[in-house]
Amino acid sequence: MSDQRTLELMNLAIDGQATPAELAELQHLLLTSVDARVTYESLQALAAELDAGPQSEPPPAMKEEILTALRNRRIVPFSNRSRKRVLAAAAAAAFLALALVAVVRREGVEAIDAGATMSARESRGIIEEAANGANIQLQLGGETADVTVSGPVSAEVAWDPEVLRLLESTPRVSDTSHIAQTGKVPLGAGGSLRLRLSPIGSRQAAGSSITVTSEGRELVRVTIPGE
Amino acid sequence: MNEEQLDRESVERCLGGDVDAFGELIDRYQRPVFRAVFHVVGSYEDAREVCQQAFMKAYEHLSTFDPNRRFFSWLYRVALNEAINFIHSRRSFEPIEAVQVDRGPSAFQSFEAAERRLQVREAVMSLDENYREVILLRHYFHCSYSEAAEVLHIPEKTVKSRLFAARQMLRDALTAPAVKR
Repeated sequence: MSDQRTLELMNLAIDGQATPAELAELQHLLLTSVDARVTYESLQALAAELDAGPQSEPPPAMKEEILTALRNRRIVPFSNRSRKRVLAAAAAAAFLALALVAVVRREGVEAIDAGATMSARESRGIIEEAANGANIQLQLGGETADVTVSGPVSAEVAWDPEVLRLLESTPRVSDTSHIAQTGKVPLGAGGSLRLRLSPIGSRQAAGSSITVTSEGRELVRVTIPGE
Repeated sequence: MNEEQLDRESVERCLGGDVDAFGELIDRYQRPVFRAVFHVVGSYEDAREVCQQAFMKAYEHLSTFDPNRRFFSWLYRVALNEAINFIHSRRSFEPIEAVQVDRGPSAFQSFEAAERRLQVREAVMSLDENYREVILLRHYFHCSYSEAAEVLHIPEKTVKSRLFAARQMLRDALTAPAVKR
């Protein structure tokens, strides 16, 4: 019997998914092989350790806290918002962001209600998003754009290299000339990346976009509109 | 009406603006979600915060829920992401809270048990994403193979192969340091 089949039988038995025939097969194996017994016992012990999680009850007030927060922040599922309300929200966001010279416009991802539910962070021109497992923060200031991405998935931050240049990054990227050419910085799964971009010389950045993609899916696109 | 139908009805009402309907979903899922998140983040207070965020995010993104799927699988995915993101943002593991320490026969044994749990959790979080997810869903969220497959949108066969391989990796990782000590 192959090692793979042996391990499959053991795992199925541990998960309570083995058929009677598979259990008999495993039983025979355990009776005839000391190594198999040792392996099976260690896998059983591991599964028991993994299963032994906290049995605590959720905080009694948690439900009410969530509902109160939802009501206070006036968050509603996106599909329930009227077009008028979304436009009003966008206008409010534009007004606030104009004070910072740049305006942040979200495209593609429907998530943050920029007006009625705007948080203090968003009102300073910061957009935060968690999509595809990634945490993304984009902030447009007067002279710079800051992009922070972290999470368990790989991602790529991209911009128009003709318009924007990379000022600094954490962690420091090594191949700066390639990045200056392509306008792309990849991020490995489980890592984090902070980039600061600025317009090249006096070039007009309006209309230029910064995007964050992961596994072929565009998570966030921010376009810099005209002043 | 079965649980799936109840969930769908609650979701519909939420999308219609009924916040209280979301309370029904919280009632149905807060216990498994809280326990799983607590297991992942290792602290009661952090679990409370992460759970709140997960439920709020779920509500906010409810329109992206596909009613042809089961609600729990979508919610578990949201909670799993929140918990993992929290761990990443925290970057290093904090000491286990007293609440997690067993009331064993001696303080030393309690400490040892708590330390071992921390070791196991660290080993799980060190796995590659694909392997870590199946371990978390199977052992922390207590999903069956088919439920984990539904959460991850992958075939059940893939869940099994990843789960079995992940256990093997964990077994190796958790036995190696013990020998060195």
